Amino acid sequence: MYNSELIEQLVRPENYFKDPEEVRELRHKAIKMAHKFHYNNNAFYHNYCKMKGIGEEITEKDFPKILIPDDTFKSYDMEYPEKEPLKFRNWVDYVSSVKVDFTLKPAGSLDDLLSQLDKNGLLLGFSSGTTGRLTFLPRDKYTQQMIVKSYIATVDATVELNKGKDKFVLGIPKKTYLQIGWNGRNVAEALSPGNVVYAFKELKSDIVRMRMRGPRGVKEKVLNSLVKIMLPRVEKKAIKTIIDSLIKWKNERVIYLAPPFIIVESAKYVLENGIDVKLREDSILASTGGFKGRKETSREEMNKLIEEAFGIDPQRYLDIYGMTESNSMIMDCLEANKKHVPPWKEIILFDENLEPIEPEGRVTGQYGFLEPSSRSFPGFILTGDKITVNFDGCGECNKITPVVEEIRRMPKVEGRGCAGVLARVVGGS
Amino acid sequence: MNRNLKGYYLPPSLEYLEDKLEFRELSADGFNITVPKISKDIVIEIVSTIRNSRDKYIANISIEEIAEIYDRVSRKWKNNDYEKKKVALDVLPKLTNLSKEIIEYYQFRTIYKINKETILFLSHFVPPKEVFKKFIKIEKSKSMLRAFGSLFSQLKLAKALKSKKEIKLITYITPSNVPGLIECLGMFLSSIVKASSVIKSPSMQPVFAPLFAESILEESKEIGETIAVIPWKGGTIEIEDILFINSEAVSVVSSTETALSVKRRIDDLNKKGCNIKGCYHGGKFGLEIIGREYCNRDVAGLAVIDGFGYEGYMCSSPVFGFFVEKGGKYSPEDFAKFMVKEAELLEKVIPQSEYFKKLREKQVARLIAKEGMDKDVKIYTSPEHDFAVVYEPRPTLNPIGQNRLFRVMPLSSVEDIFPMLKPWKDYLQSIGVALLDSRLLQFAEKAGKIGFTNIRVTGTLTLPRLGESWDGNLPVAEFYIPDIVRWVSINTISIDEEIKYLIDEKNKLINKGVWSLEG
Repeated sequence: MYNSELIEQLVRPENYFKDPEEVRELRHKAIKMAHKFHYNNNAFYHNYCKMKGIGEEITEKDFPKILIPDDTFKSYDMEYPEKEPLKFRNWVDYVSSVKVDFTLKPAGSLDDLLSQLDKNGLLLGFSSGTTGRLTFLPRDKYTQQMIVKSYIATVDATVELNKGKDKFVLGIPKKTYLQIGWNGRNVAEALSPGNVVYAFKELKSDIVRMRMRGPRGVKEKVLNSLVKIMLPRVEKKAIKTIIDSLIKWKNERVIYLAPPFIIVESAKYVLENGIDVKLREDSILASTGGFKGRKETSREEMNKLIEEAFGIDPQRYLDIYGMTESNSMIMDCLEANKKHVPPWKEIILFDENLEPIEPEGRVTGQYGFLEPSSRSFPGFILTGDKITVNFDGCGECNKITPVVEEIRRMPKVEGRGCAGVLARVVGGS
Repeated sequence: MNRNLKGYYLPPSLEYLEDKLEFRELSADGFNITVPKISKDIVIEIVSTIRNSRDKYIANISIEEIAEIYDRVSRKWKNNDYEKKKVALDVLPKLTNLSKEIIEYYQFRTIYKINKETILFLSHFVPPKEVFKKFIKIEKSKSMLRAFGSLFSQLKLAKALKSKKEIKLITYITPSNVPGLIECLGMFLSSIVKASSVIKSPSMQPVFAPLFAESILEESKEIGETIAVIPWKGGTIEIEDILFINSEAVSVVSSTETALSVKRRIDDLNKKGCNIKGCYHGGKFGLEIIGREYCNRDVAGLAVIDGFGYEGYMCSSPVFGFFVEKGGKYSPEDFAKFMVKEAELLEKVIPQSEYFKKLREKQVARLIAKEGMDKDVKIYTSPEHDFAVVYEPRPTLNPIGQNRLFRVMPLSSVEDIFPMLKPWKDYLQSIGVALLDSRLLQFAEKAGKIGFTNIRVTGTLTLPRLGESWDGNLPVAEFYIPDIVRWVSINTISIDEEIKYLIDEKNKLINKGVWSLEG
């Protein structure tokens, strides 16, 4: 049985400040419970654990062994899931810990297919990745609720919000199955219903897939050409929507959340056009999602732009580290702008030989995490990121959790000489 | 106390440079490896000295004497008590994560093949003209050779073979996937053409090439004077330009990206008046074809030996998988089960390190997840074993068979593989085959046409033999002749006889382990 009461006790803002030993004990108990649940309810995970010689009862020593490589969730064997709904449903069912036994009709588009799943209570949020092969994570209603709860718990532990009153300006689409967009929308709507503005109306999954992997066939090539022409206009319109909303709400407390490149573009637009959008001093800017292949702007430059354009103390600009596979966000604290790991998330770093590194002091390694708050799939993930974590915490705020100091992608499995090309083909797939 | 090792080799006449060099230390459990920082000025001194040493020493040594010297070096490395071999087997697993049994069985046993007979064959070999029409048996190397090229290419080849240019220096850029093999090939192939060599050692393991060079020095002070092993960061123009401009040939064995980058640089230099022969060996993928007549347990064991080689990271490794023809006494799925049985025996004598095991588990996770779509896929794996066999009833080409992940797929006819290979044309090099002699040549002709250059008997796919073609070029000849002819070799003259011999060898390996096998 999945013990949701245990999870409720764990995913709470106050746990950021509690005795780490006490929280660790609770977290480990929850991880063991979640493992047992997935072991008995998830066919893929069951077979995976069996391959590793792991049964339903585990100890802390087994934690590094139960992590699933993140590309598992893009292992479906077809280019267009919407054309083979039954086969795709079987795959989703196999990697899920909840039963996926409803009928899916052949769909005209990926969005149609995802919408059918959504109507049956299963959100298949996706991330684009870098190869264009979408990663799909199956989230049932409970797991969806836990994302929102976990995000809000992190926000509550970081800033004091006037729930129901604060205004949210989101540089993300209102309608999308892109997980990052779904998270932003649902958290903002939960915090301040009716006070949320979106820069984009909709982001279609089919378009994301086509753009990331390149167009295939005449129809997609034509569509891609049109999208290319339209994109700058869409982005321009989105910036205008953001600025208009910021102007409208400049005397109120605003939470402006967007991918960093949208924040940069909107700040530049304000400065270049001499627009007065100085926000109220207790407003907050937050970014997530990275630069997505665009020219990166350093934190220092971002701070300067934000201060000049929006009159906000750069310390109130909070960056967020999240990922589609995770139910939580790792958010900057206000005091030191350091990214605190939520207390309900167990972090494991691995060295070059894939051995777990002792969680002491400041260490760098491949990032793995265990999150028991995910009921519909095992939230035990080995990511493709290499991060530096200071397990001593930040020392400048009251949170007693480790901080993530640096994030970069793991190099592909290069370095094995003439098999290098292989690394590129395999590592990216 | 840690043992000190040199991550470079300078001939005795250049040892004075050690006072000018800056060093960094690389640590590996029990070893401190000293690696020099190489500057432009140091390279100028090295190049100038070893080019002169070539004229002074090796130019005057007969090929027979050179063959004798390398034969002695090779015999030294065959001896398990040879100190340098002991050091290499101690340090290389720490630097590469390959088990010492892998290094002995696949790498060192290839080095043992550098003997007098082979060197004399390589230095005197002239391909017969008939190779342009069909596969021709080359008795001395126990192989068959075929060449593909236009009439114009044939004329150009004949001209190039007659007017061999003098080669004074060859630069070798070597990879890390086969730790040491290419470095020592670089040294001895350069010596065969009486050239000096500069070997760029891979950053992952800079120690084997210096150890091997010191072995050569022990046997011949003169040849020892014509070799330098140094590390530098690949792509450092100021160093590479000096080396390339002063080399008559540059051989790069690396990723496709590196090989192409070196090619671009050499093409530029040649346009500016240099005359450098580039020999480029980039990334490739291998596969294995099992004919219905050879679909049996013993051949499954030979296939496992191919899959174990360098943990799947050699250019010839069967990473696409094992394609087994239906219609034999046993089914392709039976063959997969035979591989499991044989691998259980072979893993005891050729174990795998934890590192590669973990990498495999990551790959298998994805295949297990895929199982949800295709219930006919069978995965044979267990935590106690150092391999995984996956039977997939629908053949696909995906180069994911590293780390002892063996994908077995059925074919109605062995020739069904060819249409599947077209998208991968640029990445083809080696194909392991277990086919009756009566079927081999027809298959080999098609394999050669589609792009394979090395056709090897199952059980030898990751055990290259000296004298085979390499990426469509002939070793030694590739230093002289332009890349106008594509050479394809079969590493046997009778596959049926060879398979019998290899099965005996496999059984000896299972019974005796890698350390007491004959060379």
